[in-house]
Amino acid sequence: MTTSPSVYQVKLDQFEGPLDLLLHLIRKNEMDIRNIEISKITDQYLNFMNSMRTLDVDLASEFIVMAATLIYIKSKMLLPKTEEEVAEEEMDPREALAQRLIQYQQYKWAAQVLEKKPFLNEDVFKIQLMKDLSSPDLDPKEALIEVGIYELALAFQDVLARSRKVVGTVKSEEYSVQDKILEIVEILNQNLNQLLNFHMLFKSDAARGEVIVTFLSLLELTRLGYLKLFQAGYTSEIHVKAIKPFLDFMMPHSTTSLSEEKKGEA
Amino acid sequence: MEPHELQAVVEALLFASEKPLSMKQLESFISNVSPQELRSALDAIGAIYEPSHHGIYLETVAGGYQFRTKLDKASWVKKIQEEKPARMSRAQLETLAIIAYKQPVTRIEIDLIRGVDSSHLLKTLLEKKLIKIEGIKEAPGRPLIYATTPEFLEFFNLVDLSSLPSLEQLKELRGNEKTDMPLFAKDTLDEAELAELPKDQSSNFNKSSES
Repeated sequence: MTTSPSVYQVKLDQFEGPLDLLLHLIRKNEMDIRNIEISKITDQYLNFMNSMRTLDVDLASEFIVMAATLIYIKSKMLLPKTEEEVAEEEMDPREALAQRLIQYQQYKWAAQVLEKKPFLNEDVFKIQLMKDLSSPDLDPKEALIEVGIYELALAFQDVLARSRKVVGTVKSEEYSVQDKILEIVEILNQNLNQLLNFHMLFKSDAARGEVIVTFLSLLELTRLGYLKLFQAGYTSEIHVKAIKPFLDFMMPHSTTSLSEEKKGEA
Repeated sequence: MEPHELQAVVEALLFASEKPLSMKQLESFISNVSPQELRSALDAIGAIYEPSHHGIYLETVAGGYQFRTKLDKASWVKKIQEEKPARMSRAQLETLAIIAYKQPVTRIEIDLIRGVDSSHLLKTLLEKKLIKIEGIKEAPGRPLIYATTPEFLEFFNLVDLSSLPSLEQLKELRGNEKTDMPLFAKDTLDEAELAELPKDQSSNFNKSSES
């Protein structure tokens, strides 16, 4: 498929999937979607699949599943009904497929409605400022945008990938979020109100466990309002900025344990 | 504030804002202004830019107001664009439509409707910020749930999600065409059908068939 000429690929691109192909065949044959001539459609569908195979085009497995479904429905309709089935007035075997097609057709119409709208930055344009001063999420100094959960997840994957350390001697290491937070606080205290590279806080030779604990520590510090995470663009580096001095920093765990001790004394 | 002065202030704010400004936001920026006063200021500004000798107009979009270039000036504005935006594919539009109508929705639900895997499409749409991960569904596998963003409304010139025709309306308008079901981009809604679709209060005109 990789080297086949674009002509065939364009042809295949016409169909987003087996449902799309079926809708096309139904339309071409001027059939009612609720009353599909299953034998005719199945033949045409299988012909399409065969011609794709001759052209050496890999069809997605979804196409094969649909072929099986069509053949199943066809066989079901050919078989005489058992007495039980007649008594139960069993549903038309085509019904489930028809429902799926109708549902899909509706969303295709909805997609067409969207397509008709004037697209921003394609058909209509708005002012484009270098900095968005109206957005509270933005660090005006650096024009960075505060990162969301999806960006964080991506960054975490990235860090994990980088940490794939060569296997050597196995020694058990234990990390606690508490220790790690204190370690990070140490670094950040020296760089208050400065932007630090997110990756800088991860040791390059850190094992998986340590990476995870570091990440959790950063999340915890952000949650407690000590840090903000920024990013210039969607795929660019994430930066960390300490926004609250750690002088009054108190681990939430240690505060609870302190109060417990006091209770014990009293 | 003098009505003239108010109108000028609102115009300045709208001009300089990259995001659509809502009535609420405008009220918070300008103290001691009644919604009625704001309304009439906005109406007056809208009327100024409507005539054809203006290249921009005031659009009601994503729950706010925004200055935009007029549709028929697109070819001119494109000349100053440094980067051409990647065209939206049919598959992307389909996926977006499903998310817009069914949100919050999981990937599995989208795949079921489309009959094919949608993960790479979701990734592209997330990157374009047209959709977001809204959370995790408390169901087996704890799948992510997706929803559209304010940027989605901005991109498609929509005031809000309810300004899209409902699936029922679509079915009514198009559902009877059993023998000639339009499936491809070249099949378009004809003018009579468009007139029946709910109109936004704004000048939310549709594109001509050039696309």
